[in-house]
Amino acid sequence: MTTTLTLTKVFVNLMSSGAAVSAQSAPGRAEKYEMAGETRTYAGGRRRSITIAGEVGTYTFVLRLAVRADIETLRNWIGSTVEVRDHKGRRFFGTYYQIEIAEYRDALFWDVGITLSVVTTDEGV
Amino acid sequence: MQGAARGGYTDAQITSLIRDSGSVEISAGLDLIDLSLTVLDDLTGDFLGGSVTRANYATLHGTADLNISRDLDWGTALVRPYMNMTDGVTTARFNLGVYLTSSPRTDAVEIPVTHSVTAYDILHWLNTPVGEAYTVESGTGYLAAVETILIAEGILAYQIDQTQAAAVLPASRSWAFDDKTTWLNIVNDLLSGIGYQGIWSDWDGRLRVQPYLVPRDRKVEWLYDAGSDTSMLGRRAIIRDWFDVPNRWVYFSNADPGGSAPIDGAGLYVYVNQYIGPTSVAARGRVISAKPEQIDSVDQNALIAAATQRIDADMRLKTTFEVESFPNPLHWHFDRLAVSDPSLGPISDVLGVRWTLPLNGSNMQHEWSLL
Repeated sequence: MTTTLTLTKVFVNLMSSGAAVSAQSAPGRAEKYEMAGETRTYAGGRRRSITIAGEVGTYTFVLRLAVRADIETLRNWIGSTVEVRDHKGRRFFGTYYQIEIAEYRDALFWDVGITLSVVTTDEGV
Repeated sequence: MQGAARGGYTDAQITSLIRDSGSVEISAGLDLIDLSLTVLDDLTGDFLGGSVTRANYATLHGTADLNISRDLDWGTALVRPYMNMTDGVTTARFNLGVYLTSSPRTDAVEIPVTHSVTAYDILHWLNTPVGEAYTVESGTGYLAAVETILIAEGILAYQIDQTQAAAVLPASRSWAFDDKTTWLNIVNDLLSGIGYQGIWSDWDGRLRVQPYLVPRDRKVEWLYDAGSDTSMLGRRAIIRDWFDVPNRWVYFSNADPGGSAPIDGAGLYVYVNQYIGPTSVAARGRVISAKPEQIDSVDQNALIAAATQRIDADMRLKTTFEVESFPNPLHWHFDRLAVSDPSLGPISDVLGVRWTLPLNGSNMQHEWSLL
């Protein structure tokens, strides 16, 4: 029997321990994929494309109404490998190198912007 | 150059992948291997790229600058970088030699720690001082003496062309105890005595011993042109060096130290470039002699063969092309090439002297000498 887990928030899990931070998120969570490459010009005007293997993926999201304790946890996880899941069933493994914290008028809550750089991960079965 | 065919693809298919495909994708990898060229581990997951350089006139022809995020047994570990190239239809791997990871520079701030390693051609294994006087007795085969040294030094993967297997030393040959003589020197001295080129290592890491062939007599291995579908040439420049270029050479043999003084044709070889190229006597209007040089050789033919190697090198170094090209991982040792590019003049026969192949897909740099 297959059980489907529907998430109502964005979950960030530290891969090394499984510890989680979750919060509602702002709409417009963006996925982006690119490869390093260029089109070069050679003698006679020939144009030729060369790309470097390895897709570069990023996932950008903003956690809404996060509490300070969760923000400090996310700060501690900068540079570590995390798993991020959202309510659309998307799941990413990656690392982030900064968090952007924006304040609310309500002093208890904050928005946290993160750009996740996707890493290659082998999942154990 | 390496033979193009590989992985079930023909020469033509691999040539087309490198030269003709409009879009290609590059990746690189690194194997940890042992002296028998057995792969011990795949380091690709910890390999951050680098470049491979081959300078064919250098003592150690190959060097590799590699970035690795794993600790190895520095100074002992042997690695073999390779490049993969695909156009979505044809996919090929190109081994790029075996290198001794001699000089790591460790960035201790990064996590994980990254080592930038300058690694040297496996020939480095032979480039150690002998540390004592060494003698090869009269009657010993030149190639047998070379093989004895390779085996004694622990080299397991080598290929010796046995064309001159019957050639033996006419007199014993000794290398005095000094701080400069290496096993590599001795091997190359012996090979020079039978008209062989200096020992070199191939793309898989196997040491190669074979007769010297005049580059002009070898077939063209790759044509670089400016065709709209085949051009691979990027920036290019021509350098001409006229300083101290000889057009007369004198070589003499020491094969019979107790005999009479060598004369031309018997222990002495004199060559005057009367008419060939812009450095000839006719072109420069005078004879410019090189310093006479002694070569240990088994007979007059071997003396001439060894002298011809040096004369070819002297004559070649005068006009140089510095060229960038699309990555061509087939290049290797003294490649015989042709260039058809109006900006470089008429179709030129050239010899690959030096190249650098970045493993990140950047353009390759070449230095070619006009033949």
